[in-house]
Amino acid sequence: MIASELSNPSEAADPRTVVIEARGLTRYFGNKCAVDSISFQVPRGSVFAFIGRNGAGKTTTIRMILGLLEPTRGSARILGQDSSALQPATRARIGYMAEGHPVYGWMRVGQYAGFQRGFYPHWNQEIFGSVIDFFGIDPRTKAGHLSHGQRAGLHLAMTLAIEPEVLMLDDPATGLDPAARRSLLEAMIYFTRNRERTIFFSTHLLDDVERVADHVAVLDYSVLRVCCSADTFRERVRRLVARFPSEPPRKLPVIPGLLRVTRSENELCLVVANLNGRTERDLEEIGALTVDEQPISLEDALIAHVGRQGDKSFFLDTAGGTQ
Amino acid sequence: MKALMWKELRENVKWISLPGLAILLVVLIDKPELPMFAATDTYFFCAIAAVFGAALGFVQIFFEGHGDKRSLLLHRPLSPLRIFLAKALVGVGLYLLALGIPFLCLETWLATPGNMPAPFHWKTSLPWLADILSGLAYYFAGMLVAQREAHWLGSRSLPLAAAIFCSCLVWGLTEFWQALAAIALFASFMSLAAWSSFISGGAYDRQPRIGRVGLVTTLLAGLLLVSMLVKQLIGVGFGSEVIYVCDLTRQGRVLMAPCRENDGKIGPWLDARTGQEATDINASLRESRLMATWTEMETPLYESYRNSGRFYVLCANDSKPGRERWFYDQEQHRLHGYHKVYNHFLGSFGPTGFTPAGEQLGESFQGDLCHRRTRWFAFDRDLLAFPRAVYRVDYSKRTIDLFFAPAAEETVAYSEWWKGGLDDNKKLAVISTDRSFHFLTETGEPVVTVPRAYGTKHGYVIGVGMLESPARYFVWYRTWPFEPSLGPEEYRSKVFHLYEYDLAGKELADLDHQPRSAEASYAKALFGLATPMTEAATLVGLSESLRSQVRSEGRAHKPVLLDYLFSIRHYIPGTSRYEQNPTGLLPGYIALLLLAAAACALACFMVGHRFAYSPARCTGWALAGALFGWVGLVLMLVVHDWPALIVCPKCRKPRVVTRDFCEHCGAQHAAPVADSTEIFDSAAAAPGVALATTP
Repeated sequence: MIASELSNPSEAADPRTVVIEARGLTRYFGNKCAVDSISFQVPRGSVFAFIGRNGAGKTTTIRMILGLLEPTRGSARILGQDSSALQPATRARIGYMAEGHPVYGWMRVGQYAGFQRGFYPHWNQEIFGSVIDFFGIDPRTKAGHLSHGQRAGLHLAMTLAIEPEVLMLDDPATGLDPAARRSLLEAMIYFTRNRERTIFFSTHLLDDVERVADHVAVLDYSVLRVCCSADTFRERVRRLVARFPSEPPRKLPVIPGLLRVTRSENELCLVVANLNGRTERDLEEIGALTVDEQPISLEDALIAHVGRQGDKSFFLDTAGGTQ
Repeated sequence: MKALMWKELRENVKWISLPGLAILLVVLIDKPELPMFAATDTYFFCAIAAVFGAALGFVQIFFEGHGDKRSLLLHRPLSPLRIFLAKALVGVGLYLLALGIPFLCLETWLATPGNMPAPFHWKTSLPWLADILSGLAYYFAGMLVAQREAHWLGSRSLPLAAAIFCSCLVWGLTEFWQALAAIALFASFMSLAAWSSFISGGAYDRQPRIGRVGLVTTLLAGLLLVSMLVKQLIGVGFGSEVIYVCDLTRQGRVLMAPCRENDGKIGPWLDARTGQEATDINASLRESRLMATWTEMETPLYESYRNSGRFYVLCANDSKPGRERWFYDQEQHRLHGYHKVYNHFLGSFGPTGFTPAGEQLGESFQGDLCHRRTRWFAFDRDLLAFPRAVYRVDYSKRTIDLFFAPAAEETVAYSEWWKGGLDDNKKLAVISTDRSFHFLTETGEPVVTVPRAYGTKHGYVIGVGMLESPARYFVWYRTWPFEPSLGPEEYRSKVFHLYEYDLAGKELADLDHQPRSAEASYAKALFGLATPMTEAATLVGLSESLRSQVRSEGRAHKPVLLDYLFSIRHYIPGTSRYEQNPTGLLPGYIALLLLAAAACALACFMVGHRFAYSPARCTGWALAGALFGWVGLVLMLVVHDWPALIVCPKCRKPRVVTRDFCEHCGAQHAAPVADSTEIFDSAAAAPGVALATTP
């Protein structure tokens, strides 16, 4: 059962334990459904990775949660308040890094601090300065002259300096070099040293997730397919290696939860969600000599889920597949 | 909010000098010679204000109104209202500064004695001030264009059309306060529309009610302007309206000829008395030596705060030295002179004589100067005619003489020179009073006086002159097809009178003839399909109301707006004064108008019903369709965010995606199809919600 099938919405979740809550969130752009009836909750103190490919609907979801975009249907709450009517005081408790790190090019980094400080009741100049230093940014530089990574650093500095309760990061690592990405991740880890703080970040770079996230959600082109703890996800996604006496058959039976298939000379490697024992029997029935379960990292599991092809791999020319 | 205002100021202050430079360029190229700018200059100033206002509003929103920049902007601990206010306050402030500084500089320069060879009245700056303030409507229109989710060439540009509507009113209304009221009205609902579109990201359905009213009103105004202009263009372009023009030969023969309005083609000439073709007259009568010369007497004065004739009238005659300019000052009731090169004040004439500069001004003229005006300025005067006296000024000798004094029971209405033309060097002064026309020699000796048959209130255009073979005087009372103060029926029912008098002033003849009218084409009825009933009723009603106001004031004045409304003759049958309506044209037009209204009302209702609007909303839009015809229908289509329609899995009918339950069968939306790859934590823990549990 997926989240959207669960109906009969109950009362709003307790904001002391749940920071973000989406209920049947749906958004159409014209005739295109960008987000389809997604429902989930983000526990307080978690690092929640919101994963999906480009155009899956991650940014749209974040904007709806922040009340920056009206949903076509459904609702969202953040810090116990309805997203469509977020009060300025609540917004002040939410740090937001927009995708692409847009900046006012004419503003100098030092001016940015003054500008941002003017909006927030709480401002920690020490944090701002530390992050700026961490990313090697000269405060006299115009924001338009910063590199992509430095712009991300500037955004992060502005976001962290207000010491928010919730950090909403929309694809924060896109376009960053490995060193800048590492800096960003360290900053996120630093931020969550306080267990009351929550990070909700969207990404399609999956190696970051394994380092920091304790919860994952996967958006598969507008539909939420996964929403669980990282441990649960690791448990529920399995890799099977089936060995055949000769070339594996090109036609496979219907395998529920099949995410990905790769084949080598006499092996089929399958990544399957919600393994139930029947898959092994099915593989034996088509001639597998042995079927072994192998460990899979969170990153590999996510790659399999996010980039799933079922048995529609170009290595196989079969019908059937997932159900 | 201060931080945001600082940011807006810092971002947009760079544009502030542009309007000033553009205005300076206009002033340098055109080199205005009068304290009140000519219409061409004010057109440019109006365009500068409009373009700058619209561009500033657009720039402030467009580059920050979409995607991540908009998200970043709105995710500030400020209410969207305060964010909008910060932008709008800075934008309006910068706009007023950018236009206000050149305005104050230029007006101060004009007001400083010695800079302009003319008198200065602060009221002469009001037209430009009105144009600057009307730029605020363009500013909010620019904001709306930047944030509305619509096609660029479609309804997205409609707010600009609404702002142009505002400018049309500002130019057409009579008084400055009326123009201010129009600007306040337009700027109010356009700012409401801009605000509500800003907070809703350009979507309509989630805007506050008052904002929706603002947006609907803005788009309605824009659509109505487009509706009127397009029909006018079609009417002018494809119409073949025929006007019968009149002329008079030097022997006193009245001729009429049909003239096509769109290309000016004339002919053939007909004898007005017999109705037969005048074969001896060729089509180019106007250029021939056959035409009589006459001088036209008083006509209703155009009334507008933009008309320079309200403040001063240029005066000149053959005695005026070339380096001098003389203005009749309407407030001081004196004639002021200035040196054209050095711009200094020369002195001033009153009824008792000349007062040199620096001396105490003497007595003022009594009553208003009799003059004629175009829409925007007054014609130069030679003789200075006042109700109780007519004066002639010798500018080089600095003397003023009483040229004519009416009898006690008479009041002067106008004075003009009549010249014989061709080889005839005869020149006579003609002074019209409420009772007679006085012909005088150049020195003011009375020649002849003839009675006046019709007063100003009758609405005739009066031509006075002399005929030949035998020599005799005439007064021709006729109507002019383009005179807006006459209604169509009034125009057609007026009989032209040509009174002829012998040299002693004895009446010789009164030749009456009826003005001719061509028949309007039946094709004009088709405009009924494209004319909303409210538009037709408002335009016709307003025209009638203004005309009745002109009539009640004895046809002494006429508003410019009435002139603007004259263009409705191209697409509303029955409003053209020079066309007869053939039987059935008007009923046909009204029937098509009603048919179109009914069809549009039905279409609005059906569209609303299809998109699951409430019955009240469907009825409301149907009413809009009935009242505003295609404008109402288009308004409905452009204003709403049309939701996608999907097939209901239960009843198989198309249903809107915005509703939780099917409007036909009440079914919920189908859940996305599961594919067995779903992984959720503790689904049962919170029904309806996937719960990510804390480890």
